[in-house]
Amino acid sequence: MEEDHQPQSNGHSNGKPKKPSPPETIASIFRWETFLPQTKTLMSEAEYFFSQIQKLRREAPGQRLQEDLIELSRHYRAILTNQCLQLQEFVQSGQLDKEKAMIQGSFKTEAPLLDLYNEEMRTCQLAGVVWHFAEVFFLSGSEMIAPLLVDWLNINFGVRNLQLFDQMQQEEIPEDNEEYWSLVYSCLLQGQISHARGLIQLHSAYNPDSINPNDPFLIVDELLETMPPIEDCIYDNYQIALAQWQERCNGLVNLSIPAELGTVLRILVGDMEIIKEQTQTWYELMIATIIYSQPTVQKTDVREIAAASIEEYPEPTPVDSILLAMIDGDPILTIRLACQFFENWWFAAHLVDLLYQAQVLEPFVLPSGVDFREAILLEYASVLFSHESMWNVAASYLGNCRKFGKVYLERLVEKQRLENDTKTLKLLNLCNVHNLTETNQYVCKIAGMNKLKKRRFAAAVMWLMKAKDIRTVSIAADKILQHYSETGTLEQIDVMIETLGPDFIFSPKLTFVDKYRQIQSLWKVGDYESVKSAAKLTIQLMSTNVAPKQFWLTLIYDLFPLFEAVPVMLDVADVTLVMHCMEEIALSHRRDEYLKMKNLKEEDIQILRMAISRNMARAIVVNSA
Amino acid sequence: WTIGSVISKIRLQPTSSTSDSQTSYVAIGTSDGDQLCLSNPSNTVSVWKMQFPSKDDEKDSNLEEPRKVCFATTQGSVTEMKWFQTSERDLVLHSTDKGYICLQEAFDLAFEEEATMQQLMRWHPGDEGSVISSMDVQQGRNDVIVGTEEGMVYLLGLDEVKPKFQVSADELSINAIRYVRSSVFVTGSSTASLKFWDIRAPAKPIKIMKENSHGAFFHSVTQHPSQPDFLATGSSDGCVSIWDMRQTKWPTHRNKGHRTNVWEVMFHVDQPNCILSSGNDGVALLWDFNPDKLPSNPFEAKNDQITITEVVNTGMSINSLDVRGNNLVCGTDNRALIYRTLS
Repeated sequence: MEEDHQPQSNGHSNGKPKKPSPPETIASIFRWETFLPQTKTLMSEAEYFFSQIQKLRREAPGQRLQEDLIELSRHYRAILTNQCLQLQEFVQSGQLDKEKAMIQGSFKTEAPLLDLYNEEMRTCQLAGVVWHFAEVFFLSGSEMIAPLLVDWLNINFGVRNLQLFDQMQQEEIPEDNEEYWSLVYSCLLQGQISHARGLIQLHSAYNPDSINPNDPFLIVDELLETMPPIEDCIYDNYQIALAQWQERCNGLVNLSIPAELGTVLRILVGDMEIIKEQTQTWYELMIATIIYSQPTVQKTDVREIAAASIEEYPEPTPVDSILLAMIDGDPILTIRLACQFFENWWFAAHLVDLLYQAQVLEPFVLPSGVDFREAILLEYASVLFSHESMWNVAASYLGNCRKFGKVYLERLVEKQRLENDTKTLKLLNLCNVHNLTETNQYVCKIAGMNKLKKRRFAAAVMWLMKAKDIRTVSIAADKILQHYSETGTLEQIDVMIETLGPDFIFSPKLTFVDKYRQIQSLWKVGDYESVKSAAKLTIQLMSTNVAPKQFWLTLIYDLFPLFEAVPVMLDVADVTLVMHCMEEIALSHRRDEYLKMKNLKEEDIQILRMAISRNMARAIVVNSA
Repeated sequence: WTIGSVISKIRLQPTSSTSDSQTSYVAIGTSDGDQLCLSNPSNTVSVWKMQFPSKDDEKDSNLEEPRKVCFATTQGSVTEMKWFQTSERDLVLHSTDKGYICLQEAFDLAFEEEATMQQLMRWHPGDEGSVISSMDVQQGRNDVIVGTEEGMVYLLGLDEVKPKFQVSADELSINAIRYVRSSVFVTGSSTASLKFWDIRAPAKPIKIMKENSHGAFFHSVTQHPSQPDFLATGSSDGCVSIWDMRQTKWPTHRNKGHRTNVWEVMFHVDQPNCILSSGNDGVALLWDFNPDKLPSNPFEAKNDQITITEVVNTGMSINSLDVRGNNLVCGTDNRALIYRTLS
């Protein structure tokens, strides 16, 4: 899963050393490559459209959603183009320099930031090209493919021609520019007929008022004007109309006309030699062939033309292979190649989902038992949650993976750091939406322990109760008691008890805390009855073993004033119990510990024993009286 | 409109410093910066310039896209943010979850190229690991009241370094804090109770009001702009409640509009019968308590005529919203800044 990412190692330990550090480093930080902030934007935007698609599919489970999916595909393309533009503007407008420090800090790579941005731009551009091609080949249904291909070529590769055209318009004698004729040919080959016509009209030899019927420029201009447009290829008679038109072009080839115009005519006729000579890439060749010799080609037949075109050119690049796979009509191979080429799975994940929803890609189970689409989505989600802040985006994708999504989601949530309560609540919400009850409890537990570390006992207990985990609640109760024995206050507990209400019975330790608080409040009241109740309660706590042993000494010490009280408060049974507990503590192997907790010394035990025995004596006397 | 990071707080500038009534400045605080990298914080507080669509369609064709004008980095996610405006200066005060409160000044906002943001002062009132969860400013008086997740409340003066006083207000986290009168503030916490405190006698709350729900936290408290006795709260179970401070204990209205946590509630300043709320379910709602525009006070009667309209619906949690005039901005977890003009 992570072989695509290069770990970036930082050789220095984190933070500034206070003393001169030893020459060797002790710790290194390895980080997977993080994302540029703009990439994060792209991912968030893509996630929005992804959710839209899922929603669409949920609401209309069996239908063909052609138009909607094409529209969403266009949205994906739009965000890719937008991303390129934004990156460009970011770099050029100087914002990059302003924010350099901030971005660099999170990257910690050796490569200069500008290179990263340029690479990102290039990737986005290629992604746009490939995506468009996929849209043409996989989503277009049974339409004629020629106009769509011409469109594809113009949008993605025709910009340069348009720029040169504008340039030519500025010139006085355009044909003197050495690029003039190659631009004309290029426009024709790319199907930009009106631009080619415009260029011819710019030629200084072009004279619309010429009376010469054989003026070659006029003739060519007229031919270009009357060429059947490629968009009309859906009509049945297109092939015939084109053939007729090409006959006329043919008839003029042998006239004496300037050589370049001759070339133009030969292109128009569909002369393969000339076309091969003039095109620069295999896809240009392929599309030119389609425009001029086989405009009504079906999707499935394109591959022959493509194969022929590819022959003319050297070894195809990885991107070329992807395009060829699409022409072959093999979505699985396309996705596979896309995974290899586009490193961060973004492209593959969204494309595979789109194709799947368009029912172009049949559900297909990999040898590992996972559905193809799900496997890729899981990979993408893993990439996402390697970065801390992208967890909610990742969660959205995982929510749509039926088999393993839940497991991944659990791991994802468990991995998150809980810096503040808001984040905790958001994670809990996520768990609830996806019914991850165990993870819910896990998160509550972690939140509770965090609070415990900060000694926020009430908050800790609140979270731990939500986690329904007795063990940790007991730990918290222990800490509360410890806190009490250190500081003597139990303030925080009051409100906590009020809020928690009857859930207290949940943990015996917590019940003890509650009872002890009651005792304390009774003591504070101070009158005879309350004090007596306090005493009774204390005895009860010790006898029923609710009180933990560490606390016995505290309880006994609390009773100390009662031992000498007049009239006798504690009867024989009570005092016997107290004595018993006292001895158990005194004889215990942990007596030092108990003593230290209460800051008592050895002599204090003697004093306590004596007080207890005197009370005992008086109690017996009263009892027998 | 997407920006580069998760928006945790968004605030419109209260009074426009530009002559163009459509343009506004917005302060945005982020929360997804790199948490591990302490030496190079990447959460930011930034000021953006944006234009709102108006009712006039012609003007809309030249609507500019939101642009970041200046920014400053800060440590920790931004948990609360307020504009502090005097006649000449634009100040932004924000609090973070690492326990800092920072006052930034934005210079030269009108000249976009040279606009910068600089930190004027920084406070760290609590202990090492404290998280500041809420904050409010008293405009006339340069005082800032701050509530933390540890349940402490601090009063800071803007020209002093140490807090003027601190009180342990609650055992649980104080998620919302607001001035209701010049010397009285209210805290809303994870115990679903509103406590009113007087600055002059800060040791104990002067009043406590409770909501009858088990386990719900309050996330936000806001005050009615013209009737200072009415408060609205948003809580973690999706309810928006109206409280009358003159009553003793319970809220006067309690309505569940959202599916989960309501992060922020705000009264619409121009139409005080309306409340806007934003929640974790990605929805911002406009609550109109008096749709028939009856002359009587809608909050006093047990009014069943509340119309709720969904104003924004996105996929992910809307963390923060702000409204001024008819302009609404929302910041979401989806790294998006959403802006609308309300009718």
